[in-house]
Order: sequence, then structure tokens, then C-alpha cells
Amino acid sequence: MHRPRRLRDLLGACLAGALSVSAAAADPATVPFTDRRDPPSYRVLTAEERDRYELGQTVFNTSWVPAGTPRAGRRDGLGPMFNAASCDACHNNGARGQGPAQSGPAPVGLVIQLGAGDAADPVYGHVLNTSAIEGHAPEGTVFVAYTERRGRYPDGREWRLREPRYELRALRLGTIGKHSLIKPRLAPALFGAGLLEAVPDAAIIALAERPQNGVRGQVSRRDGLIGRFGWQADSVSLDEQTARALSREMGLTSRGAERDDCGGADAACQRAPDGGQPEVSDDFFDAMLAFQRWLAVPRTDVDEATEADGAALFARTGCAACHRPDLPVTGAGPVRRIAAYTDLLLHDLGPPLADRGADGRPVPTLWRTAPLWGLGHAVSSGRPLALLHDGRARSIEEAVLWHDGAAAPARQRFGRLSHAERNRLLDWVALR
Amino acid sequence: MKPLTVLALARLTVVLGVILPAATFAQDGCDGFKWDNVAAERALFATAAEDVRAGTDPGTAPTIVPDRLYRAALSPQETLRYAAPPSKKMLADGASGGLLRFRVARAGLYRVALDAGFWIDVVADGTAIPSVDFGGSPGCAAPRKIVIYELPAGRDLLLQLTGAVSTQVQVALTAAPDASP
Repeated sequence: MHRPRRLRDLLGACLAGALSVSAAAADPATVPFTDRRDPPSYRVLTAEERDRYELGQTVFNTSWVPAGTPRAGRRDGLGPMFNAASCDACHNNGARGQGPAQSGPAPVGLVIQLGAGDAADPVYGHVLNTSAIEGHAPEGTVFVAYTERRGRYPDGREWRLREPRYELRALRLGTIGKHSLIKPRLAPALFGAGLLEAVPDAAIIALAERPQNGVRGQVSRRDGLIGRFGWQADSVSLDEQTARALSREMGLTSRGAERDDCGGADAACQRAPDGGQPEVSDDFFDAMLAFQRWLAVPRTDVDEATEADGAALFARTGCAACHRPDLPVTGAGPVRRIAAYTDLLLHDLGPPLADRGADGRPVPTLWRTAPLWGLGHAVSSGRPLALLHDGRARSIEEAVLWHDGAAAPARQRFGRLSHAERNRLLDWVALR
Repeated sequence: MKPLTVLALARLTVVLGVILPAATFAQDGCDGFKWDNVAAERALFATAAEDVRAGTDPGTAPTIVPDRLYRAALSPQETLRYAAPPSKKMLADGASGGLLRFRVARAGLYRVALDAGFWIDVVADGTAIPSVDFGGSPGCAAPRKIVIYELPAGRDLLLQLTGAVSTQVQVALTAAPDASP
């Protein structure tokens, strides 16, 4: 039963190796995605592993239903408040969420986290849930409005950015806690998540201790563990990140989160029937972890000259100081090093990208360097790009231009490149 | 309730910006589509639906036509024989499904709109046609979800429904606005 799939994996790996034309193509962490709906693993799996991977993908894709739904079997317990009924609704086929195309209601893949630090908002919990099962009401709705901002490069060419403003409307339980921040977060791509988990702690610490270009990142630490997942590296493991997403955005309990993300005063939410204890069974949870751990990074081929030129520009501008092109990994089969273009460290990117309090004031915010691998997959999807933590950037260029704070010098060097050099650099990033 | 506003204006620490006109966003839950023009689907979903029973295999699939709203009665998914396996792996616990047959006269982009979150495939000669794009408005059932396909003209196509627990679904097929003659 498993032989055809394993054979396909092997043939795919061999074919990809034969056709590769670039340094990136030689990276065993990356695999051609021949069918976006069926993302592959980065290594050949055993039959047992393949079963778990496919079950995880199946659970990941499944839309959950409210507790007590007749014949619902193993997939009931959604809500009562939630943002999406399936993981795939936001991380479609493992890819990043679709951001807002224009001003209007926030799409399902863009949630509003609430709270300060690790503390949840006292009224609404960690995430504002914009959907609810029958008999319950959503916690509120989210609208985003963009205004355009223009500027010029030193060579006189114009650039444009869109600046978001978020409105929380119809807040069912009243205003949010006075100390809470409003944190818009777009669903990130999951490609290579297991490989990021396989970067040794010591390697991350070493990067923090040896700043490049004067940029010093900060290790995200909690209870003696190093955070590496989420836009702010506030989750220390895939287990934690997955349990949090299930609880906070789908209203599903699991072994990692025994309660839904109900607000402190939301008795209706707290009283709602459950779909089992936990609602996501351990075998499903383990399978979802397996799917994410073995999920490959989409390969984009690039010729050697383009690769060398782009990499040089990337280094010259200082982008590579944080978006590190080379990290070690352990325990990941044939993969020894990865080109994820992140240092997994936290950096302050200045007020333009900072989260804001209810009064609209920016609050210093530390961001994990976003991995750039898989960007080529997003670019080639044919769908509008939505980059950065809230999808405000419609292009890689816009994403670069939003960088400030610790990344301001790199942005300024980017701006001083010639027009042709900027385009070559952007084209190269679009092939990651 | 007074809406809470947050500005994310770069480099500014005071609240500035454009005030959204109240009429910009309708509050009927159907304003969440990412496309500007879902008027054709919205209009169709306001009409009376024609009842059909979705097929349990390709041979029993009834024929539907574009620009009409249908309410299809569905069957337990485990009793169905699809023309091609659903292109998305999903748990089938409690799921309903069915098959509908259709043709389009002109090749081009078409949108399939549903009032529930079923997974759909459009199958030609036993192979699922990849979707071009999809979108939804979670608070809306008229429609709830729209999927765009590039379809060939004059060929028998099967619309396969899978994955959701509802025992019926309202569905409509329309030419995508940009592809209209």
C-alpha cells in the first residue's frame, strides 16, 4: 500500500537531484512541490511514518464541527468561539495565510491576538474570536483600513506602502483590557517547521553572542527553554505552538491546552459542551506534529550566476546579518544545514511595525527574524502576496521598506542600491 | 458600542488617519469576500433554489446549469463512488457528499459558490481540475464559499462535494465577472 508513495518520493528526490541547477536545489531540506494540495516530506519516510504524516495532513485539512453534531465521530468540539474550523483554512496546504487584498473585513488567516506579553486579555483571552457555533455569538469583528504612503529612493524613484489601521467592532463583552495590546498576526507558512525545531539551542545562542554588522539579536527564553515559533518566537516547540493554535483559534482542547481560550467573564463560553477530553485525541495531535515536522520546504530553482549575484547583494546590504542563510540542524536525517534565512532571534524593528495599545500608541515590539525560505512558493502561487506579521506588504520590496529600528541601516543600504541592483536583489529573494 | 480603533501608522505616535465611512462595510456577514464583485452570487442566493438530489456516483449525477441556484440533497459520504478521489485528504466522519454534472459553453474562469464549507472538486475525465483561487466570508451563508476554476468548453464536468456534515447544500455556478462576455 505504501510502496507507490515511497517509490514516488524516491523518484522525485532522484529526479530533482538530476535537474537541479543551483546551490539551493542541492539543499536536501527543499523538495519540488508537484501538487500544492499534497505537500511532500523533506525525506523519505518509513511506512509507519508515512501513515502518521498522511493522518496528520488529513486532520490538518479537516473542518471540525460543534460538539454533539450527529455522526461527527472524531471531529467534534469546534468552538464555541473560533476563528477557523480547520488548520488548512488559514495555513492553506501549509502555506502562509492570505492577507487582506484591500480595506475591509480581515480575512480568516489574519487574527487579532490580545494581551500583554504572555498574559491574555482579561476579557477576551489570547485571540479575538470572530466566529461562533450556533447558539453563541462571536466575540467581535475586525476591519482593516489601508491608507497609502509614498516616498522616494535616493535615486528619485517612488515607492508606495499601505499603512493598516485596525478596528475592533461589535465587541460582545465590552472593551478589551486596558493594558492589552492589539496584535494582528497573519498565519505563517509551516514549511520546514520541523527543521527550525532541529536547530540546536547552542547555535541560536552563538548567533546572539556574535552580532554581525552591529546587529545583535536577542534569544527568546521562557522557563529555561528557547522560543523559536510564532512571529515573536514565543512558542518553545511545535507541540506548544500547535496546542495554542487549536485552543485559541479553533476552540479545540488537546493534551497541550486543556481549556478553550474563553475570556475570564465569558460564562457561556466556559459552560459550552465539549467534544471529548481532549477534543483533539492524542493520536491526532501526534499525527499533526508529524505532518509539520516532516513537511518540506518548496524548492525553487535558480541558476548559479543569479544565485551568486543575489547572495552577494543580500550580504552587502546587511540583510544576511539577521536573515542568516546557513544554520546547522541535528536529528533531521539527511539534512545537516538549512538555508532558512533566519537567525531565530528577536529584533526591534521600530515603531512602524510595532504592536499598539488600545490608545493607538506603538509599544516596543521584538520580532523573530522571519524565515524567507518558501517565498518562491508564495510568489509563484498566482495569489497576491501578503508579507510581514499582518500581511500589509504587497511585495518583497514593501516588506523591506517597512524595516526600521535594528534593520534601518540595512534598509538604507537597500535604498542606496541602483535600481537594477534593487531589482536583482528582490528577484533573488523571490526565489527563496 | 464605540468601536475600538488602532492606528498602525508608521512613524506616528498619535492617532491620525482616515475615518472609515460607516457605509463602507455592510454588517450582514457577507462583506468578507476578498473580491469586489460577488454581486452575481449574492443575487442568485437571494432567489428560490431548485431542489435536486446529488448523485451517489457519476452515473446518477443530475445535470445543473450555470446562473441558477440549486439545493442539492446529499448522501453519507461513505456510500458514494466519486469519479476521482477528493483532492484534499480530510476525515470523513459524519460527512455528506454527492456529485453534480454540468457543462459550460465558453471556456474560461468560473466560480462555484456554496452556502456551506464543503470541499469541492471539479473533475474532467477522471482528473480533478486545480482551482485557481478561493475565498469565503465566514459569517455568510449566501454564499459562504467561492472557488474559481478555469474550465474547458463543451465537456462533461462533475462537481464533487465532500467533507462537510450538512445533508444538503445550496450551490451555484457563474462565469467569473472578468470572464463574462
